[in-house]
Amino acid sequence: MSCLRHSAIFFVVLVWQLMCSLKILPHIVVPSPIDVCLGLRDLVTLGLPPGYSLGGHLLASLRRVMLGFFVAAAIGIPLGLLMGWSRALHTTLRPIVEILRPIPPLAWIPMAIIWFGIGLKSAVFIIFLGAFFPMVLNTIAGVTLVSPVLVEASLTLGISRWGILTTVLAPGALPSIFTGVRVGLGIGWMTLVAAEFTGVESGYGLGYMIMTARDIQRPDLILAGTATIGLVGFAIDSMIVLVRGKVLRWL
Amino acid sequence: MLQLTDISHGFSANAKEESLEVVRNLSLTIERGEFLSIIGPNGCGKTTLLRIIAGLIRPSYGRVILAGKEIEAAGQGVGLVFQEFALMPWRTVWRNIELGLAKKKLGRSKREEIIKSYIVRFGLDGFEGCFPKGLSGGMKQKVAIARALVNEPEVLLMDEPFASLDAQSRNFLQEFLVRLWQGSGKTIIFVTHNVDEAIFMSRRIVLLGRRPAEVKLDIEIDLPYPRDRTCRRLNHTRRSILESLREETPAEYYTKLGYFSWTD
Repeated sequence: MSCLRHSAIFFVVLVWQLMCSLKILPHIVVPSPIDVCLGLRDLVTLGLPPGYSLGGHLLASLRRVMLGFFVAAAIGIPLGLLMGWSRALHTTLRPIVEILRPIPPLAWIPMAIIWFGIGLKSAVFIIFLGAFFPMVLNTIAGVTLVSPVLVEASLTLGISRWGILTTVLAPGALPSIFTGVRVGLGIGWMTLVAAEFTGVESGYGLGYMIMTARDIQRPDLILAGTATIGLVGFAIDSMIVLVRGKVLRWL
Repeated sequence: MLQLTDISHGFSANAKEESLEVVRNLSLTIERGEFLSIIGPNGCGKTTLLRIIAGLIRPSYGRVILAGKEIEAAGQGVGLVFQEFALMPWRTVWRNIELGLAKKKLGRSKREEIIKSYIVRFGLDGFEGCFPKGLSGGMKQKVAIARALVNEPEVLLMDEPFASLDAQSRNFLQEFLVRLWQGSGKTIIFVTHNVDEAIFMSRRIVLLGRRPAEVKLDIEIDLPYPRDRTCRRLNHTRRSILESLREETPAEYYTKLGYFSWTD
């Protein structure tokens, strides 16, 4: 299976390279994989702008994503559990959640800049908005999917209503919570890069780096930056899947 | 002693509609240490009645009184074992049984001692660390019974607990349950639609009529334990109960299916 997966990637890159080498794709529109790899090397060694290396950009972006994601998880997962647990809370809060949810996080950027200024807080706020809703909704869904018979069994054992939340609903919702975390983190990445397009205070950030590459008209560097985002996103998701397998051994 | 006095219960889809009456004016007195089976046609309200006794549903009318105290909520001395086992899939066998001790304040060593004794008595040694997904149906139900019993209920309610098991596990668990009951002196109320099962295990059988549930037949089975499934007297009792049950079965069963079989 893993052999197949790697060969699929290899095949796509090979076709891409061939089409560039045979001049089917014009060099200026689509840089070849080799060009992208060379660009990646330049980004690591020289940096863009010079002195600002890829590692620095990656760390800055990771920091923003993680902060926004953790704030979203810390609020979103408990909120989802409570909304799944209490019908009253669900009916009260659902309209608020559902009105805020369709607003693209990027539409908040102007307000975020007014409230938090250009910098870490704004970026964290935008990522928070992207990651928050998938986690809330998946957690609620997870709680409602827990079999009512498990709740009844716990009640007959004398477990309190609050105890039901912690001993039955929360662990029962865990598979869906993991789904929420994966989706939330993915959307967090997407919003981060877009948010960085509007500017960063430190000069570091993958999105900011890609915009710089655009300004100096270097498609190879643009693609090297996007490839980095894709690979790091994939690595993070793989890590979550690994943790999920360990935690949800019972599935 | 467990007393059900004049219990009626109905469900309504919405406030305006007349409610569907599931149990009507049902009174029953169950002695302490009794093994009572409740049988009745499908959809006659047996499960609703058990849920009322367990305190999971408050009846529209009437009261359930256990040892002089009215049952107003779940978890007041009445345990319930479900057909679906209702084990927490994320908890191991050990931790599922431990859930029955959740409301008790016990020291760690005392807690472990109690759980260990159940594990041994129920033949679950070696499976303590297994998750429910790895167990057979019979094993799962043993874990569920152990979990209900460590909670030390005065009454153990069982809602068709062996209905989804294969014939062999079912026979084995019936014998196991009889021995368990004889050893513990607990009151057991066992809901089933399997007449053989009821006659093999219980000392008293109550037959409910079709919905709304009312007591149609209330008989003592005065046979010694352990019982022989093939003995003449058992068979005689079986015939008379089956006949009564047939009378209570809605006519649609016959017209729709052409025939009706009581074996599962």
